[in-house]
Amino acid sequence: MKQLFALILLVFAFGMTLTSCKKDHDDVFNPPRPVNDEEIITTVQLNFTDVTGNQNPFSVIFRDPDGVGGDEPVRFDTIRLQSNSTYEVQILLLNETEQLAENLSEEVLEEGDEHLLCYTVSQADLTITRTDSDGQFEIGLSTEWVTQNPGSGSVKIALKHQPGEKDGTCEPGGTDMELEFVTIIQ
Amino acid sequence: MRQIIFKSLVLTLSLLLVREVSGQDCNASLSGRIIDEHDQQPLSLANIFIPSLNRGTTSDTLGYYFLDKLCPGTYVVQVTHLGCEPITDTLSISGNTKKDFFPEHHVEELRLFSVEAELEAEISSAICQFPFEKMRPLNFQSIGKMVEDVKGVTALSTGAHISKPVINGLHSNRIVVMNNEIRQEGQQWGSEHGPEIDPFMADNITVIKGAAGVRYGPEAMGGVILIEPKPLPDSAGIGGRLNLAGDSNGRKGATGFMLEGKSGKIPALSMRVQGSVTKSGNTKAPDYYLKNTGNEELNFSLTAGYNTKKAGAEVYYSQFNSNVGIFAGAHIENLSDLQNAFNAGAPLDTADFTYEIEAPYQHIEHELTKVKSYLNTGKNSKLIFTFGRQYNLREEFDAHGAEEGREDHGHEEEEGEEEHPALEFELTTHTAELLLEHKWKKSLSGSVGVTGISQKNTYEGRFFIPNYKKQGLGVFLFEQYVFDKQKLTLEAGIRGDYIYQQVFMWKDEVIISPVHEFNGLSGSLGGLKRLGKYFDWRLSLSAAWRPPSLNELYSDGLHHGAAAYERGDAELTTEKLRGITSQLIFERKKLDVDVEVYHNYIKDFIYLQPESQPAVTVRGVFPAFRFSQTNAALTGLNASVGYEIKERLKFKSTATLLRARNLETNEYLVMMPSDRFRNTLTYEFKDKGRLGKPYVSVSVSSVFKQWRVPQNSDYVEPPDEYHLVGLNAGSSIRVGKQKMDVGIYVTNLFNTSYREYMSRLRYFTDEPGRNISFRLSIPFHSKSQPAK
Repeated sequence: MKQLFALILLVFAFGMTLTSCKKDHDDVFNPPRPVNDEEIITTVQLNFTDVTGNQNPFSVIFRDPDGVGGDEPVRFDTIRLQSNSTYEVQILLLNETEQLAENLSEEVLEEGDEHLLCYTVSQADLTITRTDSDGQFEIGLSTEWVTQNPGSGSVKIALKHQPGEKDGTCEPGGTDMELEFVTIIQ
Repeated sequence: MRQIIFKSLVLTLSLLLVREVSGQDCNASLSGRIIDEHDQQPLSLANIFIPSLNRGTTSDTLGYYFLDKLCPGTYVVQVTHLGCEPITDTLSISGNTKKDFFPEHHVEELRLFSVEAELEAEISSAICQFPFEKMRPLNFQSIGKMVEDVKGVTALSTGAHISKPVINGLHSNRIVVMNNEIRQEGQQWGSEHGPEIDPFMADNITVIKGAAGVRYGPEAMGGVILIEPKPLPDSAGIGGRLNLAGDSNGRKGATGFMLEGKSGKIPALSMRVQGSVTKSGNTKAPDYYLKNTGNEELNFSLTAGYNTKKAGAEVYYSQFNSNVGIFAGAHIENLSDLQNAFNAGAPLDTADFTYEIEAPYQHIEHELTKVKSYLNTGKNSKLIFTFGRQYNLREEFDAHGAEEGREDHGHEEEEGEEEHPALEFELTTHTAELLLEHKWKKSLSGSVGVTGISQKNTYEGRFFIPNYKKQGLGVFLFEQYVFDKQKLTLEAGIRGDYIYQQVFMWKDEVIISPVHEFNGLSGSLGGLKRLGKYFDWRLSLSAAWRPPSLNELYSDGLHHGAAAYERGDAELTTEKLRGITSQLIFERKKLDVDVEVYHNYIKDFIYLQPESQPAVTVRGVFPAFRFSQTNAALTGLNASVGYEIKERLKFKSTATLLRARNLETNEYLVMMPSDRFRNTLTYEFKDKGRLGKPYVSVSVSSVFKQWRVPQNSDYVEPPDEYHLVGLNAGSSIRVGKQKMDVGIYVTNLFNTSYREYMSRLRYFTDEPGRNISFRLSIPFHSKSQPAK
């Protein structure tokens, strides 16, 4: 009796599993088309405006159409500034893989409490301060750059994604964008 | 003349006297067979010795032994075989006495779950193996972790739940894992992809060290891990086992059950159902919890067999399902993040204990269907046909919930499922093998076989490796000859394989389908000789090969979690290994020594070569690597020494040393395990009351700093050396009529903080701290009604 019961149990279990055989429904001959990450930043544009109005506004551009792909960036400008000047700078982040370029700066602004732009100056006589806010902390889409003596160095700009962990510093979170621009003050 | 008469008188008299004393003819004999207790295989080169007569013999290839011209009487007979517990029996011998012996294995070996490597890859002559059923308590960790204690074996790990076995420095596509005689296929090129096999199903794990290409085909370069379930029951009735396991680190709970039966009415039919469920939460390093490192698993298997003397068949179906949390602190986006994480010394993202698994995590399913049938075509030959179908699903869910635009290819989704994996692989593999085992005359035995494989890989989401179809064919032959008198076994084997692979991928707006063809020869030549009374010496030469894996050919992108840009090379050719191994085993009274030295030369060894220019991307600057080929040499020593200090107290020391070099750049190879030692002291108590074979064991593992690394291949220095103390205790306990096995294992007893070079998490976090494991194993059985 016990044996019969066990036998039935086993046969039942067998039947159950054979009907749940797992299958791959994809077509091996048709791989998925490469689709870019919707949030991929392909273009970083810094728009400089001299506060005195004496200099013309200008832009400094980084462009890498394949995002994190292996091809070299097609454009990586050097930042050239006048000494003893003050600039208001806006940073524009674009996804240019679409026909209509996607303005990712708008998203960063909307989710200001999850993002922080970090500016690190090396060797150049330059001070950068953020001038915008998400209500509690700065964001960094708008900044003020003050130059003094001529010289050269670099400015590293990083976009940190800090959902739930923004504390005003550049430590927490993951880095979505990080570029080091050669900077010359003349 | 006088002398001759005198001598013959003395001779005749003495003969008469002897006959008087014995009272009968000394024409009795003792013969029989020596069979391995576990797998019922004949044991050759076993010693059968009668101390009082100082006479003995050894068993032949088929396990038979024969001692004749014995005087009838009662004698103590000793049967010994390397690796096995000696048998001492008192026998009454008269006429033609027949007695078979069934040697078991060294019980102390079992305690340490050190599943010892077999003496050779190809030879089917048995050496005592170490089945789990005999091992108490059983250590239900992942497969990779369970074989870590074997000398020569280390692990490449990503946290506590992902552990890939490394044999003599080689892993991933350079070793083969056999899951119940079916080659496990599951994206094993991935350094974060561990073997998808239920540890509760494994009754016997065998580690074959060294190239085993002849029997196991391409990729069996470093070695092979054979995972076998318990054979179906051979006596009528229903039985089973319940296993309970708990770990303090991760607050892990696991249960495994097994129910099997053999029909009394249909003696040929037997069945088994087996399953396990595991749940664990965040792992704890000595000073902090590792965020999102939980694990859950649900596995089961069904086996049914019909076995008669002439022929038989068996069907096996198994499922492995798991969700593994990927340590949150490891999902870094760029190099600055990695530097910050390493310099911080501890994960920046802190966590408490929880069982919840969130993104990033892996979801893995592995389904295996196996059909095997055999036919005894003659007295000494057997035809075996094995067929397998595997489906392997790997879904990777990324941290930012990155929902890449995904085309729906009709993939079945459960209702209400919100998350989409960032990357999904589906690998379907069919394998078939036809094998003829034969024995000719008394000493020659071998196998000839043909195997085939057909595989299909598809992916959805982010590109990492392309879609492909692959077919392969292999033909092999190996033979073994035993020279009884010379106590020598010789073996030779050869195999040819051909692989045809077609890849499907997008390039410049069209789908291209390049074809790759690979072929190679594997071979082996070896011998095993008994030297004198106490030494066994094995020498083997082998050749093996492997095709480049898909990621080596086609990867092109950021390797998440590694902050590196990796580029493949579609022009890569096969890797070819030529190796030599020499092993010497000494065993006498209280001392046993086993020293294995090997040298493997790998031509066209594929590795990640740092590129001169880093990759500049919008996410930052990354070190760039390209898959390239060089010539490499791996030389190593695996040794163990065991000494019985006094009765019941045994000391054992093992060493695993490796030197791996890139011969073209004259530098060391990256990601190779450092030298390590392990010292263990075990004490076995006498059976007492309800306790059977209780024991206690303490061990110290010493792992040295891996300073043998190439320049420019890493961002941070390899971690310092570390020493871990472990403590084991166990026993079988009788509660009423029920017998059960219990065990306690403590690893990292002193909660030492350490990092391991072969751990992918070493940039971000310490390895797990102390873990106290408890194991309980309860067998049960009931007798069926006697067949009417």
